[in-house]
Amino acid sequence: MNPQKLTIEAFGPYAGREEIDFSRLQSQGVFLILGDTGAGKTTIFDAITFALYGGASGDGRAPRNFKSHHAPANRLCKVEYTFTLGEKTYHIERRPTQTAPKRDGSLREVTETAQLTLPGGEILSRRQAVNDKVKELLGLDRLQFKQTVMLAQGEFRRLIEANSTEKQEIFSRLFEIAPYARLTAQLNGEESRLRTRLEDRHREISRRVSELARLGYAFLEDEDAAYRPYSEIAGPVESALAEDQTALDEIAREIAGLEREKSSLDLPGASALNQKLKQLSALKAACKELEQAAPAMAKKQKRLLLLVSARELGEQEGILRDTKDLLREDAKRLTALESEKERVAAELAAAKDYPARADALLAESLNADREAGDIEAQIERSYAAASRREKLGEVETAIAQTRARLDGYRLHVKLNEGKQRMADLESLIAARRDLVLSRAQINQKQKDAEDAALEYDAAFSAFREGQAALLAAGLEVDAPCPVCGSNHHPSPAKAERGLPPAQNLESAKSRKEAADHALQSTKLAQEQQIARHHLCLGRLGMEESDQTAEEQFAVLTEEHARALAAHPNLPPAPDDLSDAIASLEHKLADLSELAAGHRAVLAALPDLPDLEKQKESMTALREQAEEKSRLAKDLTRAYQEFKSSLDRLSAQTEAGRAHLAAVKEQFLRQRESFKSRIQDCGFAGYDDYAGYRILCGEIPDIQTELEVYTARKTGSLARLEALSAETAGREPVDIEALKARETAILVRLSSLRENQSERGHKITAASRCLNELKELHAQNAEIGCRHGQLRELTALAKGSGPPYISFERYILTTFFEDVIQLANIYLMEMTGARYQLIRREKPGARSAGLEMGVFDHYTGSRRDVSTLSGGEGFKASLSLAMGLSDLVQMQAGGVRLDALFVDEGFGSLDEKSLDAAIGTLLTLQKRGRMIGIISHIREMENYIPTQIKVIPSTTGSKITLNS
Amino acid sequence: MRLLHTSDWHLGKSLFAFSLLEDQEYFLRELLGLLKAERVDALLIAGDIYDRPVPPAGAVRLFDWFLREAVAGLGVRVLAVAGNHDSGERLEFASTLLGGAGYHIAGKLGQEIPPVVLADEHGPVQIHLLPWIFPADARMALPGCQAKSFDEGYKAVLGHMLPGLHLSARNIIVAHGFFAGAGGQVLTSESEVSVGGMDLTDSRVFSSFSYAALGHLHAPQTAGCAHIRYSGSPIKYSLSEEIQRKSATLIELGKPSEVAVREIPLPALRDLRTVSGSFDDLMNPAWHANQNFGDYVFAEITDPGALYPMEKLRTLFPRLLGLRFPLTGGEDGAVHRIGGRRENLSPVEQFSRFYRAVKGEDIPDRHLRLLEEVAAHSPEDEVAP
Repeated sequence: MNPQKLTIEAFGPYAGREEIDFSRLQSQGVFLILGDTGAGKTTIFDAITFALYGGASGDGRAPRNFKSHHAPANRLCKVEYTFTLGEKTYHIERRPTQTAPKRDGSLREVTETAQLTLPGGEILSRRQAVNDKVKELLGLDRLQFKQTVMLAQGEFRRLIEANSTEKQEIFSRLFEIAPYARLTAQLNGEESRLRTRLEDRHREISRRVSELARLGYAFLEDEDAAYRPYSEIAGPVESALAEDQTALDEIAREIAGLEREKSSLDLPGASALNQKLKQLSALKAACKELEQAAPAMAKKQKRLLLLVSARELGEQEGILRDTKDLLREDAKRLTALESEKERVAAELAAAKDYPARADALLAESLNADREAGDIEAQIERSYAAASRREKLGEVETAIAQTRARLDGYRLHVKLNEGKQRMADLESLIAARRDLVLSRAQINQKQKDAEDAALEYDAAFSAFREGQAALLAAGLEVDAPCPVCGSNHHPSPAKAERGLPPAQNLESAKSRKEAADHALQSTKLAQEQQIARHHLCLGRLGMEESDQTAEEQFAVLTEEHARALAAHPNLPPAPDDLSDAIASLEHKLADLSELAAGHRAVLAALPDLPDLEKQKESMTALREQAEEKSRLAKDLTRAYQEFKSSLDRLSAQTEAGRAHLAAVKEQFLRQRESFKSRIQDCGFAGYDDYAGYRILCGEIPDIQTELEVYTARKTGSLARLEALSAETAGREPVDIEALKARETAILVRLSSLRENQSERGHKITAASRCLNELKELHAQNAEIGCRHGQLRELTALAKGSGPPYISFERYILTTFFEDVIQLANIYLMEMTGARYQLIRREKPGARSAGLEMGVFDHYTGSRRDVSTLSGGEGFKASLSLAMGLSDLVQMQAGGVRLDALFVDEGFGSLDEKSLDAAIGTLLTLQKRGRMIGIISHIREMENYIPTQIKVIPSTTGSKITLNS
Repeated sequence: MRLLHTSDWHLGKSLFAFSLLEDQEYFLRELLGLLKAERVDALLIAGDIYDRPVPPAGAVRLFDWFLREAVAGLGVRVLAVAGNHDSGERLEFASTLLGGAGYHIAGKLGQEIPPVVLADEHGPVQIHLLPWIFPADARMALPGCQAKSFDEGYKAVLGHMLPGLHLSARNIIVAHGFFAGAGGQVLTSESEVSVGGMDLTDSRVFSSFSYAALGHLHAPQTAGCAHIRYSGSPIKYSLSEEIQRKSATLIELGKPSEVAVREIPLPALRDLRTVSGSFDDLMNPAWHANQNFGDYVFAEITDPGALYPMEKLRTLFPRLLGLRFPLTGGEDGAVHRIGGRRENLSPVEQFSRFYRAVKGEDIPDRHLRLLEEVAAHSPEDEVAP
């Protein structure tokens, strides 16, 4: 961690906002934080720690005390800190828990807030998240940070002079010893767990031993019986147990003998025999009485038979009477039926002519209906003719309209032809006029062209003369002429009109060419006009000599006007006139055909006069036909009804007669059978039977009496037989003697059983106790052995016995040795290779192992660290701090300790030592870390030019930077 | 069906006070690429997803991101169990809901272990998720179970599971722990210290499965036979792993008897290695054969050290893990090796040394066994290293 910038506000002695830019001090390596005691030098380091880790309880400076007393109540205490790790920059803002005034002036508590800005711009703002992240980034917790980054006031010498226990605290903060401490804790836990189990076991053993004593093994009653080994207890107890077992077996044998005797006594069997013998004699007497009553019972049986027969005959007689009544009823019903039949036959005779009358009426009805139908057909034909005439009228109208349109279109055709001819005539007239005009133009142009040609010729000859004169002027005597070669120049040309300018010739030439061109184009135009003129003539069918064009045009114009006037309602011409005409012609043909069809149909339909009268007579005829038909139906139905009634009645009378005969026969048969049964049943005659029938009520009583008698007789005989068989040859027994013997056996048995259960219980309980004791002793031996080992190991791990070095301390010793070795590199450098730190063993001393001494190479002697002078002590402790930092980083490369604050190490130094100490620091800083020295000694200003000055005042301290 | 077997991610782990989150993110990006390129149907994570029971927020965020990309983005099912570093209860949060989305996590041992069932053209594949257990977990989950050792615990749990197995289907188990075949060699590393074999379980408990995807050991290896395998950790998590080649294991399942296993190497963002030499050599950039100065490097210095060695070496190796050098010290002039990388002895082994130092004799075997037993009795709230 490399500090960059610290801003504190209302923090500790600082009332306002103070800023320290560490990056400006960086290049110097060592800087001084200078100020009077209490001004707030250490506060700077406290502020850094607070910014990183927040407030922690149990610290001398609790977070809520950070707020400056000098600051106004409403100014919040706050720290901002920027630092780098490698290339990355981090920023933290933190506010401690503090009180601040509310709007109404009362105070409230504001809890701690923290915010960490990461290099990527991500912001953490939950306090726990910030704390965790800082710990992860720095690889150190709060205490480790304070230990390695700050060599604090007072702790300076303590680092070398502290005893092992204090050093252990420092070292265990810095180095990972938790797994080793955990092993010690595990050993200790297991040891105490086993101890508890051993104690539990022993309680159980005591309980068993005293139970055995209670069971009667008196030799176990003394105090320390529970502590005797198992074998000592088991021997005597087991032999006593064997004796008890023998006695128990004897008892069991006696009980078995008595049980056998008791079951052979059979007291219930004897008493049952006596009872049976008594019953047997009683039964014999009863059987004799029953035998005497037998003849009376036979008489009663006979009378019962007669009574039962009489009851059955009574029922038969009842049926006979019912049949007789039925016979009488049927005869009466038959007579009634026959009289009804006669009445209906008379009615049918009266209606004999109904069918003939009905037939006549039906014939009349049909006639009337047929007449009405004829009239209706005529009416319908008359309606059809009317509608057909209407349709014919519509078709004729359409034919007239179509014909008018067709005439109009044909007129249009004619008019169009006239118009075309008039247009052609107009063109011909125009062409002739143009032709006359262009002839005159050609003459004029011809003349112009000739003039221009003349003018050009004149201009050319003037030019040629001019050129000759020019040549001639250059001729010299006796020099050959460039034209003819003669040396003699008889008449050299002369420019009579002077030398004409060259452009005259040019303009004359272009004028000539323009005139020729105009002539040619006019001739070309005329040829086109002549062609047009011939075209018009061809189209009109006229000769060139025919001069009547104007006359023809006038005649046609007049005809056209006349035709238009004659047809004022001429319909407008459609675009495709000829198509329209063809379609209209076609339509006209279709319409004519339709009209012809309608007319043909009409010719076949006659006219019908007086339609309404016809309708009335038709209705009257229909009504007549209906009435007659209804009457005919009524007559037919009446006749049929009479006839069917008569048939039904004839059948019924016939059936009635047959039935009556059958019933009568049945009655006679029954009467015969009744009479013969009276005799069969043994009655003297009808009167005898009637006498018994009256007494039928006696039947149930007689039946019951007979049944009871029979049952008693059968049962008694059976039991008599059984009992005789059972008791054959047996005599009565003496019961009282048997009872006395049984009582004696029971008394003895009860006493024996009590004894048996008591002894059995004792043996079971004692054996169980003994077995449990055996098991408990076996377990105890195992646990005890394990516990013994554990106790030994635990004592060793805790260092509670010689040589009094705990496991944890031992582990720390290995770290401690490393720290010393690393510190020695610095110490040898600082002391010119004179001093070296050594770890000292103090054999036998408690809590040893982290003691330290110093070896003086000059004198070759060992010394205690406490004998070092102030300056030497400073160097030693500074080396130790450096060594600590080195080892922490070598253990975990992710931890970067780039800065070290040394607080007040110089107070106790004399001037020489101070010189040496400062010299050392200056040497060291050139190699690596940034070191901040906190001091109140003003002379330090002279040694270290880079300074942070803390200036106290009554209104709070201020900071100035001096670099 | 194609399954990718990984384990021991240890998300949120720090090495020598360096956070490895960037390296772990790199690994997860590589893994996503692999899932896509190899058309993987399901990813198996055999425990130790996080390094601590309550992982740092960054690690949780990273895993959340990965799950979203893999499950929702690529449609790969992710099946995981809790390892001894994880908190089973925390990992299991919302697991029933997440199972529906394609992320299946088993945190704590229950009475029943219902398999996750996948299927391909050859039929169903049943994947059984067995989280890390203490013997006490087996006793709690199975009434009447008396298991005292890890071996007994796993035997009880598997014995309870086997009758319910559909042997016609292909069965895969995902588990975390210390398993070895009879007499087999085990490649261990410092980051998964076991307590003298107390937690060793016979790997034959898995013989009924088509494949056992194991986690806990950081070196890729088989345990007893080819289909019982450790995929190893994806990243080198201690100096003792510096020569290991990290990989994931691709399992291709065909017909029930066809299981093809293939190691796929995993590249690392930064290597982890030791450099050894004199201080001057180490400080000379040209001297180094491997010029990746950004690697995690531990320096083994062969000559006596200089002032501020860490600060100086750090200028060359920004991720210097620590260093060690010999010193001639004291009045006797004996040579000590001091510095970081203490021989990574377990507390029990350290105790043996302590015993020797204090008593002047070796610790008796019966004491050593007792110590190992006591140390294995790890309380529930603490995690073995």
